[in-house]
Amino acid sequence: MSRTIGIDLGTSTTEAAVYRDGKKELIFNPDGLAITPSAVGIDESGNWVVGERARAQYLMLPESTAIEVKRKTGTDEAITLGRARYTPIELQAKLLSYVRAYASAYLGESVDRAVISVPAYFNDMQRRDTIRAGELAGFTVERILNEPTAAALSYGLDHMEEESHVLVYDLGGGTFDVTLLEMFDGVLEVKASGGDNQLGGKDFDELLMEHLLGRFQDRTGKNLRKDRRALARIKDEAEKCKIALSDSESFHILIPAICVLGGVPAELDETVTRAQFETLTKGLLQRTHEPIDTVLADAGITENEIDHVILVGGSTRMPMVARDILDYLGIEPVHAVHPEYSVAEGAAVQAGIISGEIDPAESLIMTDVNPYTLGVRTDDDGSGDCMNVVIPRNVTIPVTRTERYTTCRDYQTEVLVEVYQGESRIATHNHRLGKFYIRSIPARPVGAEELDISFSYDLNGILKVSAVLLSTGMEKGIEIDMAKGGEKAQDLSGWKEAEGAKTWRAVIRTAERLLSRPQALPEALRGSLREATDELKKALIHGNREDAEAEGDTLRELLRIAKGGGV
Amino acid sequence: MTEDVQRSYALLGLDPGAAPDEIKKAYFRLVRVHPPEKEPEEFQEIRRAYEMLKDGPPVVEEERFSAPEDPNVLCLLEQARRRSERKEYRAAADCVADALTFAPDHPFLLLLLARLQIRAGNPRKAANTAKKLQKCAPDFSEAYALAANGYYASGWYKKAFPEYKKAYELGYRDFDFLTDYADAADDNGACELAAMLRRELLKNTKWDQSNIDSALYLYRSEAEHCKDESAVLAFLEEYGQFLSANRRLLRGQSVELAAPLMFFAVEKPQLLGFPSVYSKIDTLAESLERIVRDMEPDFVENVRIFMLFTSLRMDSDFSDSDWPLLAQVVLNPNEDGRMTRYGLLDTLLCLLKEREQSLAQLEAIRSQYPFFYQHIKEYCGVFYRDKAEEQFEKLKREHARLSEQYAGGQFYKRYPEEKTLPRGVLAYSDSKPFVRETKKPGRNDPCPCGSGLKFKRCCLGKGIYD
Repeated sequence: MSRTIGIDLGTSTTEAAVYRDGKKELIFNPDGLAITPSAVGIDESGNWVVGERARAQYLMLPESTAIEVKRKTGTDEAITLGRARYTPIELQAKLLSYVRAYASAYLGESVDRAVISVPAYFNDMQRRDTIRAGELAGFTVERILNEPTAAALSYGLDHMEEESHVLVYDLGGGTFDVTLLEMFDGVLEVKASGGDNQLGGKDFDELLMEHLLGRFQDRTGKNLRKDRRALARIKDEAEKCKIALSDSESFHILIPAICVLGGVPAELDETVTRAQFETLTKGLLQRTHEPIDTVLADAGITENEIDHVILVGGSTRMPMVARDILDYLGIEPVHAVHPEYSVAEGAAVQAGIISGEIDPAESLIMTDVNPYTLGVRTDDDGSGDCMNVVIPRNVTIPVTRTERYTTCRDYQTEVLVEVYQGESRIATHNHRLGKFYIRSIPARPVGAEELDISFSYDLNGILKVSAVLLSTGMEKGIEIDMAKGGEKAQDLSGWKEAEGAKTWRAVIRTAERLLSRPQALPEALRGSLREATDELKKALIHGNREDAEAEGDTLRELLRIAKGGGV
Repeated sequence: MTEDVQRSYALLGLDPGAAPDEIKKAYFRLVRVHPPEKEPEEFQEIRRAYEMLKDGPPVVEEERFSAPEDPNVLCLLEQARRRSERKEYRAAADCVADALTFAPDHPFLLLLLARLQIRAGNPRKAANTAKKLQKCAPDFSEAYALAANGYYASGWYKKAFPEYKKAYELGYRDFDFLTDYADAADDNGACELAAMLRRELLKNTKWDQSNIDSALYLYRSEAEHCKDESAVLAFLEEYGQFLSANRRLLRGQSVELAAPLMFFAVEKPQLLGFPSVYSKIDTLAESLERIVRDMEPDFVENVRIFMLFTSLRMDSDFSDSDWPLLAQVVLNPNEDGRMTRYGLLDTLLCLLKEREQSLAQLEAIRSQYPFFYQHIKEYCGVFYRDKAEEQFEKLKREHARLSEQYAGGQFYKRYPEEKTLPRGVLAYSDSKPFVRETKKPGRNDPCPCGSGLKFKRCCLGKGIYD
């Protein structure tokens, strides 16, 4: 049986660890280091370079090197390397296959299963893309684990006896996570988690860079913001400066020949003091306060009840972070775990639990929460766009909740159940996960027909939604796999073979013919027509005659409008 | 003690009334036995039991009356229990009413019936039932509270008030009851009493997620009682403390938080004339902003624009009746963002129509209240800008679109000539003729379907382009 490893796929660095022979063990890369920069690039001869070499190459060839890809995870934004364009998933996969290769070499056995950690605040799209990157790299992704939970697992395994409330403060390269845990009798209960997935060490670098660029421009009048090569060098120096300022009071930056001014090479020569740096970046630390507040409120805990604040993530090495926490919460934070390795180690512990390397009877048990509010769209205030919460965020999972709803119009015969994820009170501002119709509701006055809608959310991030019409007992539902990303897009080509397809063939054909001509219809009508056609096909494939009947009628009506020139 | 609670104790292997510590211990021990990874169903059961008990056992009301022994009654009560578990309160109430035929005027049944009738939305019936109950048990406070609740919900405020009073005298102190009592006191002119009740509630309640909404409502009501400058100042001070003490709980609220401040702006602008009050509101608005900032950026903007309007309004020739729409949208927490936007646009357009006066007022603010002007100045651009005309047209278009969905507003009423036909209405809506997007194809033109054939040989006669 092959080995399962834990991977901390970070914004700026990546670490891997394994649990074997009863202890956590870091995996070293060919350079003999446990920390691999999260950089991927293509060198001059067209070969892929990953890790330390790619990071070094970034200074020389920023055009064909990608860093901080994690920040784009979950989007479709293409990244240009040299002449070709890549998706964030492909680049993350390159990085992961590099990890897989060196882990196999280091452990001396094949490694094809992994637990990958992501920020707790990653949404389902970002999680799904991380899984796909893992699969592209040849891993079977056993579990997506929240980073602060991983850090807590690593801490918890060494402090099994403790009974306490622990706040994990994870300020990494690109994301900020805060999680409140309760430890009791070897059980690790996540009470609430939150964060800001666009706040991390890179933002500190960027502010410092901006400061340096501004100073350079003031002094010489030259704007370097368009010069990618100069930017890469300044970025590198800014990062070094930030790290150095954690230990010393000031740092001298000298970049010779950064550009040519009037035929003479000009240098960037600046001294930055720690006080200067801290004033510059004060605003960033203030952004951590709100997630902390939210998490404490959700967990129903005040700052006096917190026993430890654990710092995780490289950025927490900055002394100002600890000072800010002391100011804000009145608690002296501790470096109880290694800020850079603990997430990978925690992922390895989880891998050990899953693969049976760790005896479940003696190890930690962990309970987790769902990070986002889940609900349905309702017409509570007459706007038809209300987010009605079924499972609030930060509820311990697995969980099943049921809410009762009624019809909102007289003689309403169908209900559209739309499932949303997000924190806004306006449903359409949130992310729609899926929808389905309940049809053939007896036509009765408003409010007379009642529906029970149940949400059931399990540990693997799969949400099952079902609705029961109380008067007839009719039941319908969908399954949304959040780990894989929303409702599966269905293949609708099979409708022709479906039973009853004959009846509707003519109608569908007419509709499709209309849809194939861009000029034929106003845009609004087009949309409704396409939706109705798809719904009809779906109903046919499912063999649901009632739905098909209803959708067919809608479609016919739409066609009549389209042909009749909008009477 | 309800069956649910008993079941929960049994599930955790505890005796009823176990201490919170023991409950927690039992829960964590059981999680070890049934980890969520392996036995999700069992885990959920345990979790549900734990959540029910963890904040101490639910407060069980001491039942004053015991149920009658009659088997018919017991059978009906069982049915009623099942119905009310499914939230079918009306049916449950019917069962209890049937049970009453077996045991006429039994206080246990009357109490149950009145409670169910309130829940089922039959307040008048509930009031009558409670009246009967009062006859059987004249010193039972809940009987008066239920009657008061019933009368109040049916709109009989005068009748409700003495009932509230009596229940209060008998020592009934439920949170919802007290808020209702305060409202009833207001309606009956007993403002002093209302203010006293609210202050008592605000002082003695420990706020959490479930009742924080009521706190805001109470503050909003209390704002109405401020008569002079010193009262307003004291109120604002207290409200400010409340905001900072509960900022964690208040995240996510927005419109509600501003409601007490808005109240002064809408209803008592004369109070804002006192510089001390003005600057106090200004600081509060700032702390308010800190709470809501990231949640709803639009909202803070709306509040600012609103403050601008309010200040411009003082000398303009608007009468008070022109403001209800705006006041309603900013004060009413249930409206969505678009409605608010509509209300703001409506007023902004009115002000722009009278740009001269508005500008004069703006200048006055600039010289007298510079700190306030600082806040609103970015929104004043519309009044100064050279392109005011263009801006005006843009706002007007947005307004026209929104006016399709929302009623009310002064702009069209005051300037009917501005009402043009809205744009962007779907071509197939009943009221509008169909407008062809492209030229009608001629017989010999290439067919618009793109087949390459002449129209007469292709789509003509199929009814698609006619």
